[in-house]
Amino acid sequence: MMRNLILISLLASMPCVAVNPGFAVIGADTSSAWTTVLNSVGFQPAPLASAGVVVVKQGAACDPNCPTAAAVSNGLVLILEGSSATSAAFGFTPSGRTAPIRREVDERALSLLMIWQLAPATVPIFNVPSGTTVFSADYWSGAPLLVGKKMGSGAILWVATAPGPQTYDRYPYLFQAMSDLGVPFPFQARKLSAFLDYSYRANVDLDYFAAKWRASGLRAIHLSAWYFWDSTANDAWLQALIAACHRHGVLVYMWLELPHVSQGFWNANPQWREKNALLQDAQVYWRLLMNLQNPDCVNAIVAGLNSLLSRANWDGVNLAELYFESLEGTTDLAEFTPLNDNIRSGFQAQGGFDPADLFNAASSRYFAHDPNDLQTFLNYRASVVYQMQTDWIGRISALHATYPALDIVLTTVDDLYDPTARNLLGVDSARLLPLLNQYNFTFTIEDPAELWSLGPQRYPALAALYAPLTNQQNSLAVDINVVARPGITYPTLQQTGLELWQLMRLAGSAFHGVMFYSESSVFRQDFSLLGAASAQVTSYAPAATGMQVTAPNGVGVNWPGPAQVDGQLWPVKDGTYVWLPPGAHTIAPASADPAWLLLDLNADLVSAQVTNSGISFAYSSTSGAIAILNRQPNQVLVDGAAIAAQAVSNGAGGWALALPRGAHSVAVQ
Amino acid sequence: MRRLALVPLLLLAAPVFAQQDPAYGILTQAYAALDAGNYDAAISYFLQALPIDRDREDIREDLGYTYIKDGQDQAAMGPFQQVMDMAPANYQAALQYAFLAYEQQDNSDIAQARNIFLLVSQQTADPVSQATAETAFENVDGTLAANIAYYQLAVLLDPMDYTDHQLLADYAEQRSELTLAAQEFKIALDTGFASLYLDYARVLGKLGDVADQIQALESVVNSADPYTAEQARQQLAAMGQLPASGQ
Repeated sequence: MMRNLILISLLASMPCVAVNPGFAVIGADTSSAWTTVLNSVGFQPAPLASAGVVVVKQGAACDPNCPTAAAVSNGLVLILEGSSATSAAFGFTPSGRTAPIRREVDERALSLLMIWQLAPATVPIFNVPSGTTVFSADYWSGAPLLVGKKMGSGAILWVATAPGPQTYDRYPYLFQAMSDLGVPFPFQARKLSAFLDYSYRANVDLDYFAAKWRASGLRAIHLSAWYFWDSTANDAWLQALIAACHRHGVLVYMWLELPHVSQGFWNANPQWREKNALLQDAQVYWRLLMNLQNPDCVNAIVAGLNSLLSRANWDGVNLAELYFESLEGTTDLAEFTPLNDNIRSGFQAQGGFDPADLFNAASSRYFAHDPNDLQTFLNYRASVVYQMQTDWIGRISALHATYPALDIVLTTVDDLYDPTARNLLGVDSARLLPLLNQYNFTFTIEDPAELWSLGPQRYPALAALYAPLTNQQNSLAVDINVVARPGITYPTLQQTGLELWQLMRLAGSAFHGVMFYSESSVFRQDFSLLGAASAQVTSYAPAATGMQVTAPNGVGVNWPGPAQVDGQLWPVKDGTYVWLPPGAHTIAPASADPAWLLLDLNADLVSAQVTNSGISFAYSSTSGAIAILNRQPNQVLVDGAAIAAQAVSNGAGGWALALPRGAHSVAVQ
Repeated sequence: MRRLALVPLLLLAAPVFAQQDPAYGILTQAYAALDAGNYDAAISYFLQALPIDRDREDIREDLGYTYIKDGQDQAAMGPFQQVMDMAPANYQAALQYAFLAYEQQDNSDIAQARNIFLLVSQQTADPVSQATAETAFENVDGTLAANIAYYQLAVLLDPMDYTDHQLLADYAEQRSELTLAAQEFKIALDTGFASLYLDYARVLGKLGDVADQIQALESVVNSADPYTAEQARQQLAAMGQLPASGQ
């Protein structure tokens, strides 16, 4: 079992070459499986003659256009599926034996259970040519399933079968294998946000992580605030994290989980603890809930919030899951809230009875006897949640007077696709969405657990439910929980590899913003491809000397050399990607880079140009923005006025410059 | 990062070490990679250095700390576990291992962390390590005891709440109250979740009840939950109860 795998790390050091984004499939692409797979990291359909990636399906005849070894050596990426004349020509031949495949195991994730749907599938065992790397194999028989080889400036990948019925349920790490063979991905975006739990990263190299996050497509991290609430003991770490993130172009948001405040706040204030339906102090999962209907408790939380904001250079606040989390509703009374004194007296005045009676089996109002009284309380509870969310958005918005760049996010679980959330948690999105016209914030819809097994297509369906309820489409975002899911999902319980790429891609096409939980739960082997998967390109065509690309939100295009964009020398690029503003653009080679480069911009790029003395660009951002320049600027003009902000070296050849929130034009020299 | 702080001293003493240390060359590359923040390369070099001198605790510790800097906490447990096996009195490594184990959120790891904190608090002569271990043990044990009490009351008030029975079983296993854990997992089996048989089997195994452990695993080896079935199959194969082909 997997004894003969070659160390993949040896391949990782191979030099990268620019990739042609076009792909073609030889043979019937049943259910567009390969198209879906290749689209997930940005490859675009193209005629066979101009394709940089070619798939030869099982049994497909391709004479006289069969890809040759010479074509591969010259840069073609060839994917061979099972048995075909082309597979045989490259040395993949059936052994005559078969194996029932139930579980695939990949060298980069040996302990990860990867189960094939409809398993066991009986698959021929192939002989693989020498010099190849077996990336994945059957756990029990050792039959090779995903094999690759670097050939010149191209590569071949052989897979034992077609992609599975869902298109992502076999060979989840196909693209990691491709990357190991030195094939870069055509497009890149850096607009993702991720939750970050301090406890998982307390001892890491922060500078290294900040650079990694940005390179992997992150715009912002949302840091668990409760670890910093009770004391200043961790402030040095907090300030170091934010400084490192800003140096590398990453924003840092304060992630709140009210009614949970912190362990210390819970310990110090037993009088303000929330009560569950059993009238115990409410601890629901890891959260220690406080009574947000108690004015003294709220005042103390506001004081703590102000203290924490003043101690570090935060870019925003995320009010996450601000409701009464009880996923099992009244079937788990230990987790059903709120039954604090304020709620009980408030509801009594309105509803005419103590809601605690609903959960007292001896009471005539016991919920199991009469669901109507319970529903009356659940409606009241939903109105309390609405009021809490409105109040807290208002409180954070009021902080703009002190912190003008502070961005606001409200993360709330979906209740339109899955309406049961209203009774379970008190969420009422339809009522809340009009607040987007009153306050500037991002409404982030958390993917409910009940939908996790439904596949990536749920995101367009989810977006279609929310879009009609607001005219602030750019303020809608989705939050993907990347965690082990309940129930049976294939090929893995936690989203990884191909499934994760498809999730990111479809979520990004349906919503303006995408965030995920969490920075540490995403498997290590997945992280570096997040940016490629989240790039949205709606059309691509090869041009005489370059390419035409249309991207609705702007995109990075793999283009290692100097570039002209729309006929002008282009200054927004790093060594690997040329960064384009939204819309259709043509890229062509240039003779040399300009002296000044905008290596990275954490904001929406609107335009850019090379000037006589440097560069100028325009951007917009709901938060403060960060520009990374290749030189330390002598002068920075924002909307024509010089700013005092100093660029900070990021230690990797870049100079990070903090820029204001909003829409601005910048001139650097 | 006690070991990593030694890097500059090691480099200054290069001529002496170069003659005596067969792993010197590869370690020099490891520390240079470490210094450059190239953790993948540093880890690779440390792994290459290990078989050159298998008795070196310090290489394992430095490998462990490098994994931590790289955010690979689970991987870091391996080298620290090896140091604990090689040098049971290396309480610094034991504490590091215990903190990493506690972070894994796995019942067995948390139980192991709790036991190590207790052991170190009782055995180390170093007052700092003793205080650290004592505080950690009190925090872990106190939280587990409170959670067990909370869910014991919850299942008393609502005996049909199988989620709470499962949570109670988890906390009991983490606190090494294995009889209680087995009892509560057994009740939670009524939820019909096949994966709970794996938890139940694991606790039975810790109690030394191998026959019942095998029976619990066999009861889900053909489960409709393929993840549970596959794990049961793998565990039974490791116990010699299933052919190596898994069929």
